[in-house]
Amino acid sequence: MKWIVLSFIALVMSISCCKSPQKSSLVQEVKNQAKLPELTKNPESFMGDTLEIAGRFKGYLASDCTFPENFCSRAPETRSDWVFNENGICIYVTGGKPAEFTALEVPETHPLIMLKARVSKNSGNLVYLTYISAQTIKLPLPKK
Amino acid sequence: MRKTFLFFLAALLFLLNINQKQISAQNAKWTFMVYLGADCDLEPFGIIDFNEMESVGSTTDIQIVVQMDRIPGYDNSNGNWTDTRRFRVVQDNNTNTISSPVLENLGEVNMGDPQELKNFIVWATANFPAQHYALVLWNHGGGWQKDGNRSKFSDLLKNIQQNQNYPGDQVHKVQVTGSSSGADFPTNPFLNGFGPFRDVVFDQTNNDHLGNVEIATAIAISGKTLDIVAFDACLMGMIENSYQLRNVAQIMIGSEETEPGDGWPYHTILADLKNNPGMSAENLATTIVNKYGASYAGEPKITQSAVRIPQMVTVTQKLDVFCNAVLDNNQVWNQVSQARENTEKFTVPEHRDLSHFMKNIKQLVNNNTINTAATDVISAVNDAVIQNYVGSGFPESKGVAIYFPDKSNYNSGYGLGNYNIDFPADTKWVDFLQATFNGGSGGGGGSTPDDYEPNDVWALAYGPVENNAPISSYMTSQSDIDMFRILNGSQSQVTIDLAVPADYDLYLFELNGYEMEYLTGSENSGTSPEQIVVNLPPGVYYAIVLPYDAPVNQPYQLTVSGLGYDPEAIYSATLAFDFGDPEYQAYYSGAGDAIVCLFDPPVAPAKLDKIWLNLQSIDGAQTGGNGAFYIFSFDYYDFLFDPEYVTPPDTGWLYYDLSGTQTYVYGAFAVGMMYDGENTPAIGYDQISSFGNNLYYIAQEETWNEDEGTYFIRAEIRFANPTSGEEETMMVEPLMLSCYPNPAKDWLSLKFNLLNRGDVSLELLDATGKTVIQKQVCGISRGIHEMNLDASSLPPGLYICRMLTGGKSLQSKVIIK
Repeated sequence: MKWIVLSFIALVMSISCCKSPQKSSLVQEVKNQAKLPELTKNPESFMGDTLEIAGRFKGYLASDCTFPENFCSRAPETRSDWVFNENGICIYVTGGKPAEFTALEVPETHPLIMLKARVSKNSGNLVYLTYISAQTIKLPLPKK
Repeated sequence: MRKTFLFFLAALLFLLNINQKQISAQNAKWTFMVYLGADCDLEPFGIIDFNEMESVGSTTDIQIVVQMDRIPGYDNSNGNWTDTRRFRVVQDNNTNTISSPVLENLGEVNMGDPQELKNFIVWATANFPAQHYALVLWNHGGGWQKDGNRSKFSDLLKNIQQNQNYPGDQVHKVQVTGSSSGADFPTNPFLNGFGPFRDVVFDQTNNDHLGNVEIATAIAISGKTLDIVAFDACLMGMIENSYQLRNVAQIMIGSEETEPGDGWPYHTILADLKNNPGMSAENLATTIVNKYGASYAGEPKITQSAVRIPQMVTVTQKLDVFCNAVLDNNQVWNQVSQARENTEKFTVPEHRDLSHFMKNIKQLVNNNTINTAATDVISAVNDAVIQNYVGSGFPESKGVAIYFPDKSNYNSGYGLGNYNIDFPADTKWVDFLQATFNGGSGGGGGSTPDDYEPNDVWALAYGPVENNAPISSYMTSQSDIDMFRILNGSQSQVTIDLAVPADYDLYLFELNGYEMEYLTGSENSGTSPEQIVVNLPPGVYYAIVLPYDAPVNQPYQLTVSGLGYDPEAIYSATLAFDFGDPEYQAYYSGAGDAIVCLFDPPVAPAKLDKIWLNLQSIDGAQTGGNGAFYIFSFDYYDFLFDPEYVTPPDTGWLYYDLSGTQTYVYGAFAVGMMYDGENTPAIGYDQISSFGNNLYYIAQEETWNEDEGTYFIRAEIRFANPTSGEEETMMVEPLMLSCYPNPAKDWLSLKFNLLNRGDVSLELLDATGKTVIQKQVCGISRGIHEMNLDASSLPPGLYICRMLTGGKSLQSKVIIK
């Protein structure tokens, strides 16, 4: 009897490996979120707000970044601050990072994340984000 | 005119040389070495800190020497040079411009290479000898934390599944039509995003970093014992780091929390040292901590501490006593979890203050033995900490953090030795963590994924299981399955005992060629222990534990005894990797696309014999190509062989024969195929996609799919059996090095025993102590190894053969004829 159980578990494991994953509805969710360009145009109107923004985790790799005017262009608070990027626009994030990534080793293709963060500024009135949480986003690739 | 100029130049160089020799001739009291890795986004802060050092400058008593690496794209000041330069810092009052003369320009250097760190220490101590040495590692730091990409690697490994349907169709050998290791080949994915954990001195240009094992080894190889090793970096004030440095330095300085971008206030620290150059190492350490605290006074999230490294060994011993006390008691796991929850944490929440945790234990646990042990840990930390500064945000932190995650964030590699660090290997801390995960309510009990034992598939079975060494684990859910790999070296009666908390059952399988065959099982009811006694021929076996309608998250114990051992035995095993569904075939889509399959061999070292591939179609995408592609294999450290350009003669199963080569794997490794830009076999992995490198094109459905696919790739290995007997021998034997023949001629063989997986430097020194041969090997597995050195070019004489690993050194004399 238990051998049947064992076989069944093995079968379930085998099938689960071959199933197509559920397509995510995150694409639409992403569209509904606040966008980085809106923030960069008028950061004062967002100051202190908590936003959810889709973009990429770039870790410490900021050499190809464009930082908006009035935004921090170097680590604002700590040496562990990292760079969040959407469409070439970068913002430094402080106070934590997505648990599944390390800023020391970032793949050439930067992971897409949904970042939840609070808009902050330093004593020089330069803007950055304070980390609250993040979720990795997997998007289906358009057919080639 | 030109001759005059050249003469002037020569004279200037001569004078400079004299000047440097004069400096060198006078031993300073302190040489303050700063390994300033500004090849990253912190470059602007590196410029600031260098100028802070220049506000003080070197004297005859304190030599401030810097090796600084810069990078394009961050800070354009000071000539925007981007290579690596060595300086003796001289005083100036300009806070923006670096004016110290460049003593050496090294060109671009990988500051994450331990060899470069060693070179800097050797250079600085040789040219600026002093009574005391301080080494500052300047950069990003991560302490010991969960490594995200490592987890990604682990997730990929989880997808490996042994498939029982090995190729029944015709098998072909892949024709090698040329060899390529050209520049277009993608970098080693293990080194670029899947690398082993590293923790400080991030070099962006070279995508490398220094691990704490590498730091200890670099210092050991330099031949210098340092008074102070300090980290001007985040999160390095951890017991794991100080313990690793126990053989190479006296004092470690680091921060439990992150550091502000500007880091240390070098101007105030060095001003104190300049005013009192005779200060002791402990006084300088205290000064550094105090000045750092003063520079961020009022800011809550600031920490910095200095610890006596020898006393940190005592802390480790006391912590072991504590772990044993709690494990023996086995009744207070809820309190342990609650104590952890109450303990101050840092930006990386898996880092907790050790003393505060012990204080919380004393408040929550009513047990004299445990409380005494906790008190002893607190006392030992107090004895070890020279000075500790904390901002108001960390009122209870005493200067020493420890890796203390909850179950859901635990990185199993910490305890499995994947990162080579000594602390988890030398203590019961991992056992304590795992028991906390099992028994505690706040520590991650419940039905979280089985992170501790991701051994739900054949390829990730835990093992090889050691003879007579009980393994404690648990089932996380009714559908959990735990697999354990058993190697039997000679015909023998093997007993497998399973002590169960509930109705768990035990089964035994044999890896027979390419198939997994069921042998026997034990299915007692309730909490009756399970036992399998079976006479087994030499081979590879798998024990499986399953819950049968029973509570989960209860610890069980598996013990295998009676294993045979034959040091001459050779086994072969096939590590398969495919999901067995022919619908999932993916096309290469562009140059650089590749399929990479990850394998975890049951033992190390293993000899890679064959790589099997299955091609459904050559030029399946009808691009006009001939289906040729590159084939490659790599481990954490490098490619196992140069990528080969191959032209398959046919479709179906093919193999690439490596049996005539000496290609060894020492742990997890990968095998892959890569599209060469012209040809198109019908299989692929979207390596260059901007969508996360995890998509496969499904030919029949004409769509992309995530994390699925038929990876028709297998690796076949052969391995000598390092099973029970040898494993036990390894456990009790000390670190060993023998050099033979002695006297030797033309070649010399170095045989050594490693207690833990690690990096090794093998050296031959002549009678003057000069290194004449050096061979460095990374990531060697635990066990006995042998390597040859070519001594044919050496003059006859007495030599020292030396092995350096993990901060330890062994040497013996040998005569070359």
